[in-house]
Amino acid sequence: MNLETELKAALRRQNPGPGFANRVVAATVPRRRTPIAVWAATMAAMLVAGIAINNEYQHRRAERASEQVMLALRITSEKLNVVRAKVLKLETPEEDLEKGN
Amino acid sequence: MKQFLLVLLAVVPLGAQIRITGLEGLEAKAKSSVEVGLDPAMLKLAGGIFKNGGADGTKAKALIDNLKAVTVRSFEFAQEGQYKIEDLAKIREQLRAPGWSKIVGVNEKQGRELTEIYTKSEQGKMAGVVIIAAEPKELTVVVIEGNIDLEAVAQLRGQFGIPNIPIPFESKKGGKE
Repeated sequence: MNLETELKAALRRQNPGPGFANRVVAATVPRRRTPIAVWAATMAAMLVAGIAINNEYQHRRAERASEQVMLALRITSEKLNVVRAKVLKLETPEEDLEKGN
Repeated sequence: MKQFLLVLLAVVPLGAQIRITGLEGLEAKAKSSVEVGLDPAMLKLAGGIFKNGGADGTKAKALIDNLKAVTVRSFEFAQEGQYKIEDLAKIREQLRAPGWSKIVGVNEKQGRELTEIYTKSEQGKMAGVVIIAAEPKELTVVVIEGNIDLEAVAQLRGQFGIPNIPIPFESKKGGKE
């Protein structure tokens, strides 16, 4: 077989079979897209979740910071009172100490 | 003149924060230790928590709002002699900088117990306080930058978990100094 014969064989008319026209028409119909409202709702839900997570994170950080502040103030207060007691003790005459005043 | 000023600025870091140094390694020897380090951002966050905390919360918030930084290092040891008073030298060295003055200094037991309070003033206002409390089995250094009311802090006894331990001789002397 030469090339001409091969081409003729390959390009000969063929019956496309029943329903060909319907298949072509179906393929040209645009696919159904996800409505924009669904995207918007998904985005909004993600945003709300993100904000909530961030708020919770910030709240925990704030709680931790406040605990640390209170611990620092507690230690400071205790030490100030120790210093105060020492200074008062130094200022108190010996006879007052013996009397237990 | 410009060179002189640059040299001066390099030598005397005005307003430099006091750093708790020289105590590295004590944590391993201590029975328990506390480390607190709060920068302005953390203090702002903490202040927000007390916004709706009633009268006590308002008092605490007012205290915190005026602070710029808080650093605490505290160690409790099982035995005496786990640290030396010389370990505090680097901290005490920094407190010789201009602006700082020692308001209380109690040295007991032949130098084995040391209690000091330093304050920093800026334009007539309290701008910082450092407390050094060295006892045989306990060592605490508190560095607070900002405008702090020491009396208000001392009066926190009985609030926020701070024990309300009566101070000996306090009533006799008429209470607060």
